[in-house]
Amino acid sequence: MLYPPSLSRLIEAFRCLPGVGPKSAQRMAFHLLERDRSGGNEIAASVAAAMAKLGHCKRCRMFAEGELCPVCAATGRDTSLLCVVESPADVVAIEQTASFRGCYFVLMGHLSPLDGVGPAEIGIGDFEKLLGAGEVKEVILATNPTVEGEATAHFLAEVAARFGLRASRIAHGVPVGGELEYVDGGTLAHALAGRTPAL
Amino acid sequence: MTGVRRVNLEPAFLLHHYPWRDTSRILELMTRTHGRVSVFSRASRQSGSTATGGALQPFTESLVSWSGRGEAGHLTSAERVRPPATLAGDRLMSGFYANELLLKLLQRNDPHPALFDAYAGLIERLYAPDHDPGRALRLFEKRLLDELGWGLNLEHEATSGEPLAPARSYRYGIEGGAEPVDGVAEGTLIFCGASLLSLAREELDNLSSLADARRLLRAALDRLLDGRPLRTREVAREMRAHAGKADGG
Repeated sequence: MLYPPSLSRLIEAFRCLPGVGPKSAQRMAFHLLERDRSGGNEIAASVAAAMAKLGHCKRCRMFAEGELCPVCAATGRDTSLLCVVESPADVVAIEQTASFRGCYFVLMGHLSPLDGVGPAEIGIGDFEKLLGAGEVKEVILATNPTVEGEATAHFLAEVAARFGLRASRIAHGVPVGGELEYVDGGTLAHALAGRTPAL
Repeated sequence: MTGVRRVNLEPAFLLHHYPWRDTSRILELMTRTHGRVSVFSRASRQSGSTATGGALQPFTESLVSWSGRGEAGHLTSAERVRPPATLAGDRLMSGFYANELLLKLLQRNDPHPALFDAYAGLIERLYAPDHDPGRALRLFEKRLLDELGWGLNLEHEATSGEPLAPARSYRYGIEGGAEPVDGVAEGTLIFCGASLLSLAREELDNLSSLADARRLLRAALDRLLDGRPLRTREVAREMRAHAGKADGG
């Protein structure tokens, strides 16, 4: 090998990032060594800290530094309202709307039968435990409006029904500020089916 | 060097998709005249724009255009043939199961127009609430075997070539075919003639012929899959266990 062992190891390490091949990894390594040593140290320290400290919240499966994530640990949130989402990014998206005060459950994916992703992989055991604890009164299913997301929502609604809980699905509809002409037929059909009283 | 290949407005179903880079997908399509193909679709994970693959969802027939050299092309447009409907529960799992069979058993770029039509028929039946999804699946499985060249001989005895008698019992060898058995026989591949004939005529209008067809087709497909497990079967079983339902379809 042409490179010293620690450089080869650094290049190899970058390749574990999604979408990074040998060329990109080499470019990243050279950049850090040549132009941004402090940035490199910062990456090293933050990766080490994140890998050591971060786990999953034992209540909602969101990333957390202790047992509970900031949302579950916060007082003043409505623990009877549970919003089920696919990924931590969805939690952030909903939190930014500032219109939801309940708690979350993060599936870390969706059911994908063709990839062998089943109930166990989306944390059904934790979900059942949470529903079984009795605090939750309503489940809001906010999985993506894709076929897999709908499959996941339908399945979780059946599980919720077994616990005697009401499960609702988030509405699909016309985006705010959008024009009907450019909305696709499927969304428009959902929007018409899910219409609400105007007054 | 091969030229750029363009395919315009080809009837297709999306079988499966994988995320690729940040917002793109690799699509596995079942097309009518090009068979199973893979195409790249840019920016298709953002909202459902028709110019990109956002319009493409499983179980919805679409007209798809793509272009490119070599193995995988790039999607240029996709539009739905009809407004999308939603499948749920067991019907949806039946659809995923059919998709897995096609993904595992079909070679890429090997056209099977009749199989495409059989698949389209299956999807239509899965959407129709008065059709039994189990029966629709069995008919699809039978046509899949026929189309792949592994069709079952369901009307005549394997050795003698005599027509099957509805009242007799037969031992079905997946390689050979039906052989008559005398008296009371036990075993996984023992069927009554009526069930085999019912599957041959694609009737399957009673529970026992449906159950027999399920058993026989499963054995035939398992042989073709050659030990590769079907993930959808496994996931469907787990889902039923958690949703508190009995084993089915």
